[in-house]
Amino acid sequence: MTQAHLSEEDLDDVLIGLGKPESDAHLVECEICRNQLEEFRSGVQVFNQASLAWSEARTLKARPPFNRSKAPQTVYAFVGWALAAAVLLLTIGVPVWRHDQRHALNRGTVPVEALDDSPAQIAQDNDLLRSVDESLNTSEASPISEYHMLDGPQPHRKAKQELRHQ
Amino acid sequence: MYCTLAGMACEEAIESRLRVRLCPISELDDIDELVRLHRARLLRFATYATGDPDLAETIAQDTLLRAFNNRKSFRNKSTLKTWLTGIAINVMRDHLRTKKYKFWRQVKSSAIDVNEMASFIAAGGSNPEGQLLAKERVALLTKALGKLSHNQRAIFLMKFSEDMSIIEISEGLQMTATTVRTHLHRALKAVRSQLGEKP
Repeated sequence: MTQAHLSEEDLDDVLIGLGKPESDAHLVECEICRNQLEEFRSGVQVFNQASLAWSEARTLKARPPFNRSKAPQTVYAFVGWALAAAVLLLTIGVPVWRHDQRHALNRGTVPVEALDDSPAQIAQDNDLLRSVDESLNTSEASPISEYHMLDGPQPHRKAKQELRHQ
Repeated sequence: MYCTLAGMACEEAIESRLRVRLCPISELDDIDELVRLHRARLLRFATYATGDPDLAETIAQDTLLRAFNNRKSFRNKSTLKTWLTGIAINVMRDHLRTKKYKFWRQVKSSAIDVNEMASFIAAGGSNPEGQLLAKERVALLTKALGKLSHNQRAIFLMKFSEDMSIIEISEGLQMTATTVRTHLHRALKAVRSQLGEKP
């Protein structure tokens, strides 16, 4: 045995891959130092296996996002153009349509002045109204009149008193 | 560096396993093959380097997309693994540098679930005591890695998980070999002392 045991620095050098020839020679003979290295290496190995298995499991779960790269570009281009056309149609088409609707309404409405009745029509209407008034005046007496109640708007208080005196 | 051809017919794929038909990465037409071969490894590296599994998912995805988009620029000066890890480190730096990340890091950050990780330890042939010991080791190492600085952690993982040489690490991190060795020594000392402690 070249020395008692390898120092921590020497062991680190061996692990990094920068071990001196003396260290290698010592390790051939010293089981304790060999075990120290082996313990670290096996710990790292277990860690590597577990962490790789964990990341592989996550990779299997996360595969779908990469499928996006396989989607044909023409589909995206078509959808993009269709959206742009729809937006253009809405921004230009809607104001134009609303403008047209407003004009159509204006065309449809007839001015009040335009309904100018002829004098003959007015005379006919007046005759009709007059006949209605006459028929109402000559109609049978209202049942209320039997009770000497006033049929019509209530007179003023003074008028009421006069009625009582009578 | 080479990888197997994507999108082959079933019989052809079986045949290719025997013949090991290979093509260079620059000729890849499909990102899926790159994902299949390297995503898990990149995700593990990013998870432990950042300590945030959710952020690691984004980093792994961005790394693979960046690598695929720049596949023509890959020269065989380094291995594909080294090249990808170098891209992952740049992506990680970009993410860690952004103010947006710093804000969200304060608001919400997902931590590595040691128990979940330890549940993936292969049961192959070991007794329950061995399983328990292995779980303890994984937990200790995860805890020890969490106490390292960002550079120390990345270098430790590159060396002991990614099996990269000092030269490859220094190329990936754009550091001198001496600086890498210094970080590695410090990281190793801290991890080994932590592993020596009882949980």
